[in-house]
Amino acid sequence: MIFWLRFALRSCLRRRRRTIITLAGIAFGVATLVVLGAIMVGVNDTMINNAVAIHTGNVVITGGPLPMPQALLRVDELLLDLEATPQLQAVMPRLHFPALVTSAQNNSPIHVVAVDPRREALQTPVVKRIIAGTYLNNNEGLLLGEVAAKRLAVKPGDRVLMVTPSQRYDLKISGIFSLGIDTFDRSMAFISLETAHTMSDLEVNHEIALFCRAESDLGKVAKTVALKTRPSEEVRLWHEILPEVAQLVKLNEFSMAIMVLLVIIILSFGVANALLISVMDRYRYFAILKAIGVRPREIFIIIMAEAFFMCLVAAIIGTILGSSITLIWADFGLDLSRYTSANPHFSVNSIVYPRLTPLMALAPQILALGSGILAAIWPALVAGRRPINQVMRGL
Amino acid sequence: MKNVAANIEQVSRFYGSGKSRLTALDNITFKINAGAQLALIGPSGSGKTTLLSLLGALERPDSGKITLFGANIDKMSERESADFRRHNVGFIFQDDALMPELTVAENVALPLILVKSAATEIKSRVATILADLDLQKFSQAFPPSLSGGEKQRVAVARAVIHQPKLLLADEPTANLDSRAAALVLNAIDKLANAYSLTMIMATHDPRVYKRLSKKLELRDGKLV
Ligand SMILES: Nc1ncnc2c1ncn2[C@@H]1O[C@H](COP(=O)(O)OP(=O)(O)OP(=O)(O)O)[C@@H](O)[C@H]1O
Ligand SMILES: [Mg+2]
Repeated sequence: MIFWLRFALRSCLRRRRRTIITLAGIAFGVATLVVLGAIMVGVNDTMINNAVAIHTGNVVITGGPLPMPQALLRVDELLLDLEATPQLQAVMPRLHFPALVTSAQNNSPIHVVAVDPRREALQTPVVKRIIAGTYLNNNEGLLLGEVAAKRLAVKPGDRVLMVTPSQRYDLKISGIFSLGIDTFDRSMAFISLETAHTMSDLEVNHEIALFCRAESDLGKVAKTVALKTRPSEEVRLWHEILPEVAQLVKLNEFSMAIMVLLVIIILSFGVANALLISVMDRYRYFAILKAIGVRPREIFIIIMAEAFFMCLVAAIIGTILGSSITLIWADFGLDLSRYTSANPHFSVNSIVYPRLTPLMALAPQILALGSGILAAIWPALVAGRRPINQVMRGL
Repeated sequence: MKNVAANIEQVSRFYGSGKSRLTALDNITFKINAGAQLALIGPSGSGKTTLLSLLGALERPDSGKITLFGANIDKMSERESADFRRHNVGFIFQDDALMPELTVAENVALPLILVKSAATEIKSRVATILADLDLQKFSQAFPPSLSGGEKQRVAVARAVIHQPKLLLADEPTANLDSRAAALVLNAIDKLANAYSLTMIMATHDPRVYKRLSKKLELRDGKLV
């Protein structure tokens, strides 16, 4: 057995051109799959991060409505409980309430969110998307979306009235943001928690948005959080809140799987073809081996071993190549803004950073190796079974 | 009574079928004694190669029975006949039939590897036989770099190194000039005698068959 493996190895090495061509084909296929897989993972990362940054956090606790003072207390309590959780990189308190914002020209129904500006600055895209004025830094400021600002015909420094069921508040526009997502830019506004403190008559819903360090920590975080919340509060994971994003991620993974399958099938045919040709080229050669007493099964082993060596080396080269390209690329990122500018899931950041995951780095080579070996079975059987009654006549 | 190496009883071999059926061997019966060295002669197409293929268990007769050293070779499975060949038969083909990716020494060692000889024994026997045939300087060379005569002498070494009971040679000198042919024939003579092999050599060449004591002549698939 070991002799036949060595024999196969030798025959691969001696038939360098054939080996290299087959090998290059497989290696290229594997490398392509590794890179494409990493891009897919990167696209999903970006999509999730974007969606989560704008909408919810990876995990979100919601409760209420409570009167403003109680909501503020509750939010402080939760912050205190959760801030030290090691898997979390950011914890953001938010209070939500509806209002009608009126200017001299017009009025507009607005969903107002009271936030902690220092915390939000770490994570939320709004901070980076200020097109006029500044982010929330003065206590009485209102940060308004671009579309709403246009409708109300206001600019930073102007004053507006925020009308709620219980009270009306006079606020100064501190800045205007544009996320590029119509519903946000049309109907969202932010105030600071400091400002909210003064609005003690309001009833608000409270929310704590939690940002995980890694998507894989999601489960652990959810468990920790569940222990700290009240029965009246709801804990949801991002994919429950944003099923459409979760579906897009799944869809992406599904198309990638199909892609992998296609490439692997094509590779298998390549391997089968290369081996079949090499087997037919060497009919005489195998016939002589059989004539001197090599068993059909041993011929089969030789060819399977040749396929194994080629696919193994090719898979390793392909993986190294693909991983290197991915790692280099991951430093620069891949700017997909041309393809994603109209897509709300990429509105914040359209740079995709290809990322290697163990599955996507290993699956192509394992599949290539497995399918290459499967593809060799037929040529190997052909060579093993071929009769040798013509061997003395030079065939 | 002498030992019988091969017993061929009423053996026929046909090629094709229907109208185009061709009788390559026609009801042949003969015996070969152990240690005999036969020349198999006859015009082209007379069935020499067919007979050698049958004796080497490379193909099966369509009728009749072939017994080699007591074993009925026409009843064997592929695997059994492979095992039979690796232990009992040495082949020398018209062309050299060496493995191009193995060195000369490895080519010669192949039959010993098949019968699972010990590595040290393989080494010494390969060295001895290559020295006997004056081929030791090629031992690490690859066959494509050798001349036709040199290759054929390597093939002779490979055919006999495991001391098969039967050596079958099909026109081993057909592609060689007379000087190279003489060297190859000397090599065969030397080793066949040294190992006292039973040998059958098909040939057209009078220079070849004159060297051998016994002749077997085929004409149109029949012995004459
Ligand atoms: N596979 C085959 N199909 C059809 N006919 C065949 C086949 N093999 C051999 N023959 C025929 O069988 C006959 C005997 O062939 P064989 O090769 O045994 O002759 P030979 O004596 O070795 O001839 P030569 O001296 O030319 O080598 C020939 O007529 C040949 O054409
Ligand atoms: Mg012939």
